Amino acid sequence: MPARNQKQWMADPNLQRGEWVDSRIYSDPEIFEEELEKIFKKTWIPVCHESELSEPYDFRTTTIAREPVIVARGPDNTVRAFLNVCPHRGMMIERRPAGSFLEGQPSGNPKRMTCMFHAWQFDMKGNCVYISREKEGYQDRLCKENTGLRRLRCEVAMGGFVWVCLDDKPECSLEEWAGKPFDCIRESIDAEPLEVFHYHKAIINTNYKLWHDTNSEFYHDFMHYHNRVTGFNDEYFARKNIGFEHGHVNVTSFEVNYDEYEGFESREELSFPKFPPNQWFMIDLFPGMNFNLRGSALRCDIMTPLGPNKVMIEFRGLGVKADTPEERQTRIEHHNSIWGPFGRNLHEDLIGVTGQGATMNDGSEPRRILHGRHEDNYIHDEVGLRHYYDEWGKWMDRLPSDPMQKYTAPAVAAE
Amino acid sequence: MSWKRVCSASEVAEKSLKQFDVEGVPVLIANLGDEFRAYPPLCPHMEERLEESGICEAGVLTCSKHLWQWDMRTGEMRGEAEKPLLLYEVKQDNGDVLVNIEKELEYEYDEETDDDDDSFWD
Amino acid sequence: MSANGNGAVEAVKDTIYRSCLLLDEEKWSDWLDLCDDGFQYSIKAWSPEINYDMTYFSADHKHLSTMTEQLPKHNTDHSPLKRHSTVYTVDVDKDGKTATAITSLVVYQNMLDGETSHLDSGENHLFLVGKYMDKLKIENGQAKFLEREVRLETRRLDKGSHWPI
Repeated sequence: MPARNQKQWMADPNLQRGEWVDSRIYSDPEIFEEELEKIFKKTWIPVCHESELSEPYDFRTTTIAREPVIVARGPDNTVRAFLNVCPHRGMMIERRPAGSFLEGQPSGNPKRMTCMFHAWQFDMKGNCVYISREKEGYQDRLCKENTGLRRLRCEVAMGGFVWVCLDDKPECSLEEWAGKPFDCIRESIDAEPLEVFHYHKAIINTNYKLWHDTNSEFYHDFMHYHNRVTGFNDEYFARKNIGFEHGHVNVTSFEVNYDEYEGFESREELSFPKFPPNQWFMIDLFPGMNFNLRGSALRCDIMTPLGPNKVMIEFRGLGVKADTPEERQTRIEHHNSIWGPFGRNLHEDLIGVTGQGATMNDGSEPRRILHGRHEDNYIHDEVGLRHYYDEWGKWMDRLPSDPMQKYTAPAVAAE
Repeated sequence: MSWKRVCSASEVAEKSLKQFDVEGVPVLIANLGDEFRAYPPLCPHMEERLEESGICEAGVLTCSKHLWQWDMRTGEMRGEAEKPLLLYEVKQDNGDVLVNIEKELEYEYDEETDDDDDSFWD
Repeated sequence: MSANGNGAVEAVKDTIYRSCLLLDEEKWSDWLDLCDDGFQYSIKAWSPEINYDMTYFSADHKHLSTMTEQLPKHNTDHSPLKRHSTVYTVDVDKDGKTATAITSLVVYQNMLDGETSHLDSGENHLFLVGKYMDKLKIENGQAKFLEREVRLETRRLDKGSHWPI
């Protein structure tokens, strides 16, 4: 097919609605703001893993859709989530990324969350337990019983991840939302306590959905030297994409053949409880989280959208808490050789999506992004992407292939 | 009477506080210059460690967090304090500080609140 | 310190600074020639977020050799990394045969591809902050690396890198 003039370039491709999306869904600032309001403030977000706050009085801070959130473990061992905002004058209560409230902060006492500004204090259940000079200033009009923290829906589930929802009445329970896509690995990740051994962040200039797209398709294995050279065999192509309600996708297991890549020993010897070695499962969760269990490690990518062309990705690698030092070392080495920041694949994937971000800015000529590969749902089929955008279209009431129009069902079933 | 040796007098500088463990019971020793006193280690307000946050001046102990104060010799409340300071009996013997510990003295802090019920999210 | 001692410190510094030049110039095989056959390399960082001493990467001489040989086959950001380092301390063992060194390290990216090369090329970004924690052997007045731990403070790594740091 020869190069095209502008009119030819802009014409509808020979594909059906649902098989492409308009690039403006990745670049339009209004769409971005709507995504935060309509999706990120309404759905279950895995903010961290419970091993990051393993002891009573431990905490971890995060954000969801720009709102600061704190999760804290009480003396009853329950993990609770709150808006990390002081009810007095809006100060962020805890500024550190993680730590313990067992020791008092400079303005406050042990076992309490203290807002440094005026020394108001809160316990691990969100009760306000101290207002400095309460009676003197508020007389009988306002007291600490009226000024508790805003508590958020929070559950620890799916292998010990901490899930928070900013909406008090989410569309469905966490189990209804994510239970089925996790079925493939649930028994394994719930068998024993897990632990995070790897954490790093990237803030890159691209839309969060572009990273999620890369996690949802394997056609891009062409980008990775060893995947391409050693992986394209019958077993590789025997993997399938499976769609679930709410826009989630699974990619089913296959046996990874690492032996052919010089310099790496097989990962066969180590696995997870109740998980046969050399198996592999991928879970792509709407709106932007990826879980990936292979014998050596459980990986988790969580996206925090920062702008139409900016996203923070937190990369985690987990092992079993009871790993021996040797087992843990093996997991770390296997994980990092491919998924670490200095490993083989991750760098390349990030170049891919930032390259996409570079061509789709606010004001760029709208383009068609093709999601049209059909291969009976096998590994290079793009059905995972079609499934996601059909869900996205419903949440946003926008047509993915022309986002200035209202949603209508695609011509091609998105499975 | 259950007198226990806590420390030697020289271990606690004048006008300062130091916490010791006496057979599992934590005790805070204060050196007032001419006398010693012994208290439970935490502030009766909100469990602050007085060894770290207490300031001794002219016979008055101030907890620097919310400025509760007490007469160090008697434990009586001063200023902002809403609960008195409890004292252990103290005596000195041959350069050592001894404290009479029949049982551990502890303050009553606010009870843990009940868990929220299902209607919390309505 | 004896003449031997002085010579040892200089030999260690020389090897460390040469390694920085060679790594900047992407001369991987020349860099590995400065390393003993039993060389152990790792990149580590303490994470206050997960309260864990992380190993971001680890490899032996053979692994590094394979990896760097295959680099041309990999898609990579081509922006060169430039190091600025200062050897803070060198401690030579009594026998004069081994030494440990702590070197302050800052790594910049001199942008080439960036995200849009039209805009980005020629700019410098700070990429990594940390230290080289090195163990070297000294033979015939020359120092070679036995172990290198790149101890990073940085946990926000953006696109990361395919190249040894």
